[in-house]
Amino acid sequence: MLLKELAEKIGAALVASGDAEIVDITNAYGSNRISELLNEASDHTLLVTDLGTALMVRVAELMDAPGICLLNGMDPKPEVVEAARNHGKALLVSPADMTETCARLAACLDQSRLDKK
Amino acid sequence: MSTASYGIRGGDFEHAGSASKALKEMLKKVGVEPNTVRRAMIAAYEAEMNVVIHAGDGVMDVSLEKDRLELTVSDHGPGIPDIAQAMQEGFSTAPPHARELGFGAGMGLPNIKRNSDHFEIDTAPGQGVRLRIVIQLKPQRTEGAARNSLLIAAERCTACLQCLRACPTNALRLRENRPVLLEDRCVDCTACIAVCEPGVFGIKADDRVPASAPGAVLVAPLGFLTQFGPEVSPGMVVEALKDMGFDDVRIFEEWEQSLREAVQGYVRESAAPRPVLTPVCPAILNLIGLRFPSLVGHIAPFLTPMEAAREDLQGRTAEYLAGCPSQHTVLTPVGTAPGMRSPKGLYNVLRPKVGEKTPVAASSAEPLSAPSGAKSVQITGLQHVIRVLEEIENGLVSDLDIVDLYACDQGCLGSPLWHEDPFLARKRGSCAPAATARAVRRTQRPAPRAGIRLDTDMAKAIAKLAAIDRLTKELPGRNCGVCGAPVCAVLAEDIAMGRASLDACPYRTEKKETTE
Repeated sequence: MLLKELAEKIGAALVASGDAEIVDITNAYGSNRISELLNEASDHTLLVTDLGTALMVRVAELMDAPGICLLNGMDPKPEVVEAARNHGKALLVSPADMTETCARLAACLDQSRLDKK
Repeated sequence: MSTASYGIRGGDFEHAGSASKALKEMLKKVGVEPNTVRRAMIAAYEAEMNVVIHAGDGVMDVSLEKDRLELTVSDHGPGIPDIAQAMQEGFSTAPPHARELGFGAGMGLPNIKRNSDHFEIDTAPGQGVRLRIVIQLKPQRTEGAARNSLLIAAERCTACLQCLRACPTNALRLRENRPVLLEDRCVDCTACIAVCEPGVFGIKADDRVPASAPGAVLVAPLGFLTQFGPEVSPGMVVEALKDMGFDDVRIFEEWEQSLREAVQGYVRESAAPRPVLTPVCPAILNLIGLRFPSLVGHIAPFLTPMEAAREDLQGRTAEYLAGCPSQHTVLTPVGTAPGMRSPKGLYNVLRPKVGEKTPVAASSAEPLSAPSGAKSVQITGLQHVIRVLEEIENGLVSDLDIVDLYACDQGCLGSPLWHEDPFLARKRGSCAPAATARAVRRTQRPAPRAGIRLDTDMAKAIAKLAAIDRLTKELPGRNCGVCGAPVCAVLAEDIAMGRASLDACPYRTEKKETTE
């Protein structure tokens, strides 16, 4: 599912768009541990985390992850938004917490897989 | 062997990851395949962050050989008293401020080990840590970037040099009176086919005509259906094709029209840079990737019409008749082999049959109808296309929202594979877009192509550029083509790249004498 469409479906705001209009997201992974996010990141994975730092953008950049979804309606710092824009990464802000956001993402991605079949 | 060394500052979280980022650029430059880059990034980033979190400063030494990456990350920190304990998942001595940033999960060293082919730790309390990480490298496959479907019947060549001069990317040379293609540079644009009277160039398609599979649908360009003279309408050709066993015949232009409509919608909703380029012609996408990579972001994120047809018809037995080499190439990606039909083979079989069909009235729809609404234009023919792309690149096309670019003069009806004049073909053709054709979103941007780069190493590329400049001045500037390159500057480039020698120019001494 396109990242932009996914953001709309889970009710997340798209703070930086990156390649949200063309990137197909097949997986999402939620964690507040960098090592876990490194292991699960891919060029079709949305990283879900409370870590609203420029370091997270660097992780997405190194691992070619197309976007980061922040949680709990977080207001990301301007330097984080700027880093995301500079590196072409999408930055989403979900109003919900980790559990609820991941549940919404799982439902959307499962449905998308079924639709493709 | 290539080596590099990157300093790492302890406690500097703002710049943390810079060494890993530099390593990534290095690996991409030499063409390491993505999964190996990914493993290297996990190992390198974890090692770099260990220094940032635990040590005062450190260094990442990189040694890159043909198939082997060796990283040595060393620091002057407190060292590790118990290596076995440090290797256990979950064990961490990271301070609270690092844990707040997402580190300290106790997975760093295990992650490095998991993503290395060889891993060593050399440490003692008070003597710092030295990690040695070895990863075997695999080269990135490049078939997708430089494939083409240009067929060359070299024995027909009369060495007239027309193709060399027509090629917009200088992809052709003449060697021993035979055309030779630099495949990385060919964009499948048909310019050589159009100018070659002896018919040296064609499309790589099997001219044999096998029986169609039961229930198969054929996707064919309107250009093909208008090749049978004034007495045979496209509808009659469709009927003859059905007699051959095709269950249905769909026209390529259905997807072309759907794409145009989708791009208009995209332009209304998107803040993408203007003008947006409609990805209607695969050869033009190749040309942009090669000569105008800065315009890749202008391309609307949709598949080309033939690719969309393939996606649309998934689940059905479909066969395709490509109207040009670039359409053929996009339909034959590595790993799949959809039924491809040769225009020439099918034409020869149909020719005697189509006259027997009852004339069918043509509809009034135009195959190359101008998009409405947004400020848009259609540009056909390579000379015009290149001029317009140069103007867009220079920021001189601010008055347009959408530009449709076709390599062939008069669009797909003007493919040199067709013998009918495109103006007559348009008059005779009809294309009522079917409701079921749909535009398909592209999931990855078309990538810039490397074929025109002098070297993947920028320092070497700069040195080669200087050599080309010097060699161009040494050559006479007659641009005669006798050497087998279209102009003197291209011969200079060939010499700098090791593809030719200065002796290829028969007039070089003449310039020397004149100068003296």
